[in-house]
Amino acid sequence: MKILEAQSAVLTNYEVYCHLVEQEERYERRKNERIERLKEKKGKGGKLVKFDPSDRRPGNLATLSIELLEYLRAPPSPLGSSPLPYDQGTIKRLLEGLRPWDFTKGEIIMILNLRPTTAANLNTIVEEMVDRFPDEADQEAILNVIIDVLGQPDQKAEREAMDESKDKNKQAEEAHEAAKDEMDVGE
Amino acid sequence: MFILTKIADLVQIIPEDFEKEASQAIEDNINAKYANRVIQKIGLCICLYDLLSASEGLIGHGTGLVNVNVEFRLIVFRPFKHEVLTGKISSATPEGIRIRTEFFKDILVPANRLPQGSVFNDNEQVFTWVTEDATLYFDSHETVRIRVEEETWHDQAPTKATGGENDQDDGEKDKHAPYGIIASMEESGLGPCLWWDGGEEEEEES
Repeated sequence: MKILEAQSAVLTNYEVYCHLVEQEERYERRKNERIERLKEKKGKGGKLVKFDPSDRRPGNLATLSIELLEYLRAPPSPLGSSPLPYDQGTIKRLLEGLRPWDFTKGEIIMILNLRPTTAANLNTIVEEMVDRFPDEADQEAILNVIIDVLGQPDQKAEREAMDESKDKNKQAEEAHEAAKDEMDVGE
Repeated sequence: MFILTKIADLVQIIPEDFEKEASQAIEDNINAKYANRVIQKIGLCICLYDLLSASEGLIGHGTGLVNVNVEFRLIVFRPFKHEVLTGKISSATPEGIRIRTEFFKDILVPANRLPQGSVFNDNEQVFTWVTEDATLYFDSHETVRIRVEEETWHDQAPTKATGGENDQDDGEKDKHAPYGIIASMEESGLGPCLWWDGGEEEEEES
């Protein structure tokens, strides 16, 4: 293994998301094609094998891909809202909209990934925002561009989803603890 | 959060994979080798992004393996310094709060990088942030925003073979993650998302 270029580009979450979804679909398609082929053969006396290890992605990739998609779709990530607020032209539109202000590349990427829609959230992403954009009207205008291009989160639904996932995790943990306790008693 | 890294490597395709398309066999091979692995000073590899070039396949003596030299780009998880990420609190100790995401769990927010006035609550094993008018909890499983401050790298290659200076910290070594992130939550806007994203009215109620 030889690293030719440690960092040749930076990707946004949306691009990674698309790549993963597309990859998943490709494997699914391949599996279906194989089954189709087998079905044809079956007519001529072939055997139909529903499952074949070559349909699968390597195990480490499958695990990671599932976990990563789960992360990308979890609120408050904008990738979790439906309909999907991104499309092929989103990045271009956002860059054009934010042109009047001077943002660094990193800041643009964070805006795309996190979709800040309040001044407090924008403040964490933009370094020294108070010095660079002291005018509140400016901040307002920036937020409006972001909301215009990326849409706005459904705050209520998001809160509920976050609370729910928290509760679910807690319950799982409690169940786990209870099971452990029972085992201790058993011993 | 994610970057592309260009790598050159030798891929060996086993005869069982000959019925796959060549590009697919190479992709599976690369993914099996790199996905979910950490490369030192590069980051956590996710998967193949694209294949840039591949040589002719050559069969070596004595094996049926087809050897192909390839150049490709990998998607790698490597948040840049000062990037803001979201994650979930997994546990807290007096040293700090551990954060995980679904796919990466080695993130630590040390106690000194929490908002001023944060104290560890021994009874409940959580950190609380005591402000003038309220006590706020860093509950487990809460979704939080964090800022990446530092990275830690620990090469877990077998030390005996390399020998030398690495030998002394052998005992401690097992505890270290190959790639860890030190993050902070001290600025306003960081910390549990519910504190900052919540509706105005609800904030006043609580």
